[in-house]
Amino acid sequence: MKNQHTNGTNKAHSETEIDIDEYSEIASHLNQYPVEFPSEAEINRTILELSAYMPEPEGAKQKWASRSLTQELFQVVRGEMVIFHKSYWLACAVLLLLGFWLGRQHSMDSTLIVLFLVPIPFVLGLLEVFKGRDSGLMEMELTCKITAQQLMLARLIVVLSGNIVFVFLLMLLVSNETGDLLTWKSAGLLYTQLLISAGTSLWLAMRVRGGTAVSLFLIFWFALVQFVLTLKEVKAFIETIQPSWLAVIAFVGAGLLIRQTYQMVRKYTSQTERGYSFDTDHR
Amino acid sequence: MTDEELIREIQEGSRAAMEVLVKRHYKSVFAYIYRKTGEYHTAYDLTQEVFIKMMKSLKSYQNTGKFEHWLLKIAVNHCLDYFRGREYKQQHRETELTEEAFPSSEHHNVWDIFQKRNQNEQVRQAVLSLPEHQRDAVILNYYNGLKIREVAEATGTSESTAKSRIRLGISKLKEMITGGDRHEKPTYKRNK
Amino acid sequence: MILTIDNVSKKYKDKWVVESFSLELSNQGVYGLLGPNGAGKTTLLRMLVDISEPTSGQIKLDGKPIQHMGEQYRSILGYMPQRLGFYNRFSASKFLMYMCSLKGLSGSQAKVRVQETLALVGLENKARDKIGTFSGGMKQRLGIAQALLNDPQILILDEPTVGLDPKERIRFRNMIGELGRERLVLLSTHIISDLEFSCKRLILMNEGKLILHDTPKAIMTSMQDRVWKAPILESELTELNARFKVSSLSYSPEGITARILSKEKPIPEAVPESPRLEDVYMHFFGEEAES
Repeated sequence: MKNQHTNGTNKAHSETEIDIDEYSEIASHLNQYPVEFPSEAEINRTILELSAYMPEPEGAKQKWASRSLTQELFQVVRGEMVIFHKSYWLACAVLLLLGFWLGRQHSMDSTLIVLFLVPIPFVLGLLEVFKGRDSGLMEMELTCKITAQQLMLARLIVVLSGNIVFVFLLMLLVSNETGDLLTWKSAGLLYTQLLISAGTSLWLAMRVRGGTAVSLFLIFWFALVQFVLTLKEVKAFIETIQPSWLAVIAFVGAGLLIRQTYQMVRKYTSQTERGYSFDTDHR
Repeated sequence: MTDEELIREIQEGSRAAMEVLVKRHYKSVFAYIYRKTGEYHTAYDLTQEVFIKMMKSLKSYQNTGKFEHWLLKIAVNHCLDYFRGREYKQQHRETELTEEAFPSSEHHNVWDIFQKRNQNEQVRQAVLSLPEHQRDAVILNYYNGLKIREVAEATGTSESTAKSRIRLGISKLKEMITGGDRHEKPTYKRNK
Repeated sequence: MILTIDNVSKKYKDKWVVESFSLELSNQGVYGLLGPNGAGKTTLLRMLVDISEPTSGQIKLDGKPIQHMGEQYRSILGYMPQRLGFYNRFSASKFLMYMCSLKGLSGSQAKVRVQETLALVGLENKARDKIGTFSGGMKQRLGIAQALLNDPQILILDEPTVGLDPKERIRFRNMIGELGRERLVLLSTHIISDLEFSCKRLILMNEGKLILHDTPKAIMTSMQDRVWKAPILESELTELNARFKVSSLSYSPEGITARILSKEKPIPEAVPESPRLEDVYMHFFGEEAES
């Protein structure tokens, strides 16, 4: 390519440009310097590399407006709530009624009754969280935008929130007669106990198969309650427990729960087969 | 479609537009880098890197008019980085030359290369032996057809500096090329 | 958009289910993945939708490995697995709404898409019916609807016509043809009639390996002089099968007509025929195709 300047047209312009005559001596030599250009295929290779740097399409072209991760998560939570087997919600309702009925039997201390019932919905809920799904469904679910982690997290949130509501309703129902449960103290006691049980049962479920973990926990739990009911000293101890101690235990419970949740979520990364194995039929 | 229209399409995700834009300017960028470095494979790799840089900075391209010159500026800077990089220095052990007019004695060893009969090779070596900034200026001005103002912009200097670099480059090239043709012993001319 | 399968292999226990598979798929069009049962098609598709990891090799979209792309990749993907499972107590629209939540669509977007996809597959009148009451064909259609919810650029369907009756298959073929105009559709099947329309490329796979991939036209052309049609007697059948590859037999009141694959005229009564997909199938897979 040569520098082409018409000398006549713009005097001022041509003064600032290099006159073609200055090149004249060496022009013929300089022109002997052709460039060996890459082939079409090589240029296409470059273009393929460049595709990785295409900008994210914005505004008009983007079909779905971007939503925050939490927004999406709650969308999934709502979805999962519907998916939960009816029997789960039925069981929770039964437990509530049981609590109500037991509360009317003035033979036992109402606090202890409620203590017993508190974590059961969560523990049962774990069955839902970890249950293996029909493989056809699972395959479809896993290819969606949502990650396997978000899915399990969503289910866990459903179960936990359900249980929180359950405890509250239980308090209302049981104290209908006596009215002594609706205190901050008992609320603190119950929710602390929920946190501890939730953390422990999740810890257990991570290490043992879902169904077995649930049964184990329930057996242990039942035994513990029986033990508490028979020992007056333990009962007295629980009733006089200091709020500060309660706070500590609650903190421990919450920590355990959070840590186990985090571990559960980390376990199912895309490095592994997304936590599920598939049987293929191949000859 | 103009370059600016293509850029808009690329930002909306059109890969086809990217392909058109790249193919439109590929040869011009490659030609500059090839003459700057003198090596085919290096030029290919550097060209790819320049286009990658282009993709990354498309957002910051202001519609100043001449996209090609903006792109060449990226190429100039990228080559500068390349030459300053440690890897290159280790390979070539080249010392940097300053802007002052050198007495031709500095190019003494270049004369030997001109024993080759090949004109092509002569020019290539001549251009390569120019100090970096002069080389840039001459290639952009002569081969890529950029005007002084555009050369100045691409190399990030004033118009007068660009002009003087080109002139210095031309005079050195004259010495090397026409001096070699006459198969004479070098006369050490001093530039005023 | 280019989807590159780069020398992908998958090993299950001690067997290589997919071996050194390399292929490039681009932009729009329908790609037909044809192969007998057990060829490794499903495994390959599972790797393409990122629910299974290759033992070696990589799958890339526009140069980027899909493993590193995560949800960005899955958001442009639509997948219909071979074995479909549903919540039978759900209605069609409820199920699709659930899938929308998994695909990250907002409530309002979801409502629209559910309606649109149901209409696309012809189930708009069944929106409120429980899936448990659906026929096999309707379930397949629901499976396709699910895959289309997020308007994917890449649609991957694994044996989507299994269990459909002929009328539904025709309807399905037309739908796929339409979808292929704007998307990349990869359809795997062992039923040749699924592909008897203009598909961009036929990909033949057997025993985990890529046998051939080319336009249907080119493949047919390569078989130009190898297909013959001949009337035969029942008594000749056994001998015929022993000597030649017979891609199909048709029975009519006049007798039996056999389609024979052979480089030269197999029997005196044979006349040349233009090749069909069933011939391609027999030629490459050595068994009679299912149609």
